[in-house]
Amino acid sequence: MKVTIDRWNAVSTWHWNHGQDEVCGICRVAFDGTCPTCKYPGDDCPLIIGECKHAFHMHCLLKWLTTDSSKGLCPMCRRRFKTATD
Amino acid sequence: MLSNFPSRGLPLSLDSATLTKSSRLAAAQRPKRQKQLLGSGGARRLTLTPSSNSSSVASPDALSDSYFNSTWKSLNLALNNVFSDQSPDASFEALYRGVENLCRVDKARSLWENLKMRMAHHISVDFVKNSLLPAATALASTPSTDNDMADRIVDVWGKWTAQLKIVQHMFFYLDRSYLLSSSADLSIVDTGLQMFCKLIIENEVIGSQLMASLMLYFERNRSHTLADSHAISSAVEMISTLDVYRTIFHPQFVEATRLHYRKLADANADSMPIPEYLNLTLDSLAFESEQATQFLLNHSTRSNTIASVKAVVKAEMIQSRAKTLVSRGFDALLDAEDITSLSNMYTLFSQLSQDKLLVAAFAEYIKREGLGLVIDPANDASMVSSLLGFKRKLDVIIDSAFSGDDNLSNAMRESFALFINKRHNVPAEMIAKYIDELLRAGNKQMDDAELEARMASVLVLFRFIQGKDVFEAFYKRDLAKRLLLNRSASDDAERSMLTLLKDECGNSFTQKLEGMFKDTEISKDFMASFKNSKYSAAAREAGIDLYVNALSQAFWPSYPDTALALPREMSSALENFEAFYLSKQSGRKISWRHVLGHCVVRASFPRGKKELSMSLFQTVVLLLFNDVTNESLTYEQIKKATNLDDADLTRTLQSLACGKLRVLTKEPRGKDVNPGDRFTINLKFEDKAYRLRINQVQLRETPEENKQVHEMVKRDREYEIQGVIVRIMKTHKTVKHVELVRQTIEMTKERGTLDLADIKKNIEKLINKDYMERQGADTYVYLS
Repeated sequence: MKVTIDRWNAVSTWHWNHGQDEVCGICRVAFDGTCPTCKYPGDDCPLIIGECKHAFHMHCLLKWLTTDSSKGLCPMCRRRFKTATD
Repeated sequence: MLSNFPSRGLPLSLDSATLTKSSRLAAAQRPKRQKQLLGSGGARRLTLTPSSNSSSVASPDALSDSYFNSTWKSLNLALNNVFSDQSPDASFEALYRGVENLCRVDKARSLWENLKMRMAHHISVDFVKNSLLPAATALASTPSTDNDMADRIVDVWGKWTAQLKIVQHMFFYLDRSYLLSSSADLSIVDTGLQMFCKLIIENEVIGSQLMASLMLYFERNRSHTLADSHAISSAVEMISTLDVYRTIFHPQFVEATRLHYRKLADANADSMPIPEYLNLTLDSLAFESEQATQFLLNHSTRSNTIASVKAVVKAEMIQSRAKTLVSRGFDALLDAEDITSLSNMYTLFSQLSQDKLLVAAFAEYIKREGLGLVIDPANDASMVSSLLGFKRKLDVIIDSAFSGDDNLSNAMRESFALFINKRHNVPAEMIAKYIDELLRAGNKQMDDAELEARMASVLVLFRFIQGKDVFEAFYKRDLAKRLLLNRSASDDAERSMLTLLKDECGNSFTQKLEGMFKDTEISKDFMASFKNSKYSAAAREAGIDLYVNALSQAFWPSYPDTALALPREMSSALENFEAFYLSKQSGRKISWRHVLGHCVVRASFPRGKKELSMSLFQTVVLLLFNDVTNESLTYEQIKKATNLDDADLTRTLQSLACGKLRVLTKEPRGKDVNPGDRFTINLKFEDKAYRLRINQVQLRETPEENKQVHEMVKRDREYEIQGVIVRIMKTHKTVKHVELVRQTIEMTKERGTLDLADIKKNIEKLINKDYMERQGADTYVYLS
C-alpha cells in the first residue's frame, strides 16, 4: 500500500525576529507587544531597526525623532539614526 | 330637581315612561293649556262676578269664607273619590272652575293648605297605615327571603302617581297661578312626590324593608333566579324620581354588591382554577354593568353607578385576593402558556395598578425556570436551544398576553441577565459553541434567512451575559478552526455574525476577529505569488499542493509549539516557503502550528483507492507505513519516528485505529491506545464513498483545550484586574483598602461581577511585585 499527499494546508504564525523576549528601549514593552499608543501588535505596530542595529517600536522612535532634544540621534548609542536597509 | 320650573309639569305618567319622555310630553302640552286658560278665563269673569255678589248680603270676607267652605267640600268629596280610585261625582270642569274661583278671591293659600293636608292624610292613612306599615313591621320582625316590599311600594307608587295626576288637573289653576309664582311652595306634583318620599321612603321601617327587598331582588338577579327584572327597574326609577338615589339607594346598593362579591371571592379565590376565576370575574363585571344599564337612569348617574359597581367587583374579586391569585396560579398559567387567561389577569391587575405583583412573580418565575435550564452540567449540551425556546415562549406571552408591557419585558431582561450569570462562564461558552455549530460546514439544512434569524436570537441571549471575555475566547478558538480547516459554512454568514457582534459589543471586541479574516485573505494572495516563485518547486516535486496560512500571532488564539518530525520532502517544502516568506517580509520569524495543519491524502488500499481528509498528525503517522508495508509498528516506534508527545499521539492513533473508519488495525484490540500496542495497515479497509473525512478529531475540542481556554480567560482577567488596580493607585498614590476595592469593582463592572477574593489576591500579587506596599492596617501606597 502506498500513501501520497495531494494537498497540504499548513499553518504558521509569525512574530518579529529581533531577539526573543527583548524590549523596546524607549517604552520598555516587549517587541512582540505594542507601543503604548497601539492596541494590537503585529502589522499595525511594526518595528524599526537602525543602521546601528538598535531596534524600537516604529511609533516610539518616530515620536522620539520629532522632539527637539533628539537631534535625530539613536537614543541608545547617540549615533545619527538611519533606518537600516537589508 | 323638584324646585325649579322646567321639571314642574308631569314627570310621571301611568305607564312608567322615562323621565325625559314625560317631560317632553309636558312641554308639548303646556302652551296649549295656557292658551285655553286665558281664553275661557276672560269670558267667565263677566258672568260670575255679579252672581256671587247677588247671592249673599254678608261682608265680602264672610261671603268668600262660606263660598270657600262649600267649594272645598265638593272638592274634598271629589278628592275622596279620586283617592279611592273612583271617578268624582261632580264634573271635572265644575271642580276646575271652583278652584279657579277660589284662587281669584284670594283663597289660594287656604286651598293649598287644605289640599296639602288632604294629600298627606291620604298617604299616611291609606297607604302607610293601612297597607305598607303593617307589612313592613311584620317583615322587620321576621325577615323573609321573599320580601316583596319593593313590589308593594312600586304598586302604591303607581297608584299615587296616577292619582296625583288627576289632582293636578283638578287644581290646575292653583298650580299655575298661585304655586308657580310663590317661591316658598312647590308645584302640586312635586309636593306630592315629596310627601311620598317623606312618609314612605324615609319612614324608617318601610324604607329599610324596601332596601332589604331590593337587595334581595339584586341577589336573585345575580343568581339568575329573578323571574322579572322589571320590578327592579321600576323601583330604581321611582327612587331616582324621588331624588333619593344618591343619598339612600346608591350607598346601600354598592355595599350590598361588595358583600355579594366578597362572599363569592371567599368561596372561590382559594379553590377555583385560576382561568375559571378570572372568567367569573369578567362575567361578573359584564353582568353588573348590564344590570346597572337596565336601571333606566340618566347618563351621568348610570356611568357613575357602573363605575363604582365595577370598582367594587374588581376590588373584592381581584385586589384583595391579588397575592393569593398570583401565588396560586400565575406560574401554572405561564407553564401552560394560557394566553387568554394571562391576558385577562394582566388586564385586571393593571387596571387595579397591581401589575407590580405580576412583574415580581414573572421575574421570579423566569429566574427559577431559567436557573433550572442553566444550572445542571448534564444539560449543558442542550442549554442554548432550551434557553432559546424559553425566551421565545416568554416573548410570545409578553407580546400577546401582556400587550408588550414595558415593565414586564424589563423584568424579563433583568431576570435573564440574573440567572444566566448565576452559572459562571458556562452559558457564554455554550453560546459560542452553538454559534460554531450554526456556522460550521455540514449544517446545510438551514437556508440563509433562517440562519440569520437563529444568529439574531442567540445574540439576544449573548446580550445578557456578563462574561463576554469567555465568549470571545471560545468564539475565537472556534472561528480559528473553521477558517483554518476550511470548515466554515459560508463566508457571508461568518461576516454577518461578525457584524452582529460588532453592533452588540463595539469595535474593539471584534477587531481581533476581523484581523483573523484579514490574515486568511492576505495568506490567499501571498500563496498566489508563492505558487509562481521558484520556492514552490520543492513542494511540487514532492507532488504536494502546499497552501500555507501565515497568521499574525496577535490576532489568533495561541497554539502550542509541537515538535513534529516531518518526512524530509515535507520539511524541505516548508523550509522553502519560509525562505520565500522572509524574503518578502523582513524582520519576521515564522513558527509552524502543526496542530492545525491538515492534508488530503491518496491511499490505495487493496480494495480500492480512497482520498482521505486528515490532520497533519494522522498523515505523518500514516506515511510511516509507506516504508513498512504489511509490517506492524509499535507505539514506541511511531513515537520515536514522529516525535509527538503522548497525548497527541494517543489521540491520533485512536482516531486512525479505533474510530468509525479504521485505516489502521491495532493489536490487541480495544478502544484505548496504550504503550506497547502494535499497529498495521488495515488491508481490508473499504467504504462506499471515495472521499473520506477522518479529521473530526481535529475539529473537536479536547478537554485540555477547554481547560486551557478557561485558564487563559482567567489569566487575562487577572491582568485586567491588576491593570485596573495599578491605574487607580497611580491616580491616588495612597488609597484605603475599601476604596480601592470599590473603585476596582466600579471600573470592571461591564466585564462582569468580580469576586472579592479575586481582587484581594491580585492586590497581594501586586504587592509582591513591588508595585505597591501596605501602610498601616488598611491603606496602600503606590510605588513608582
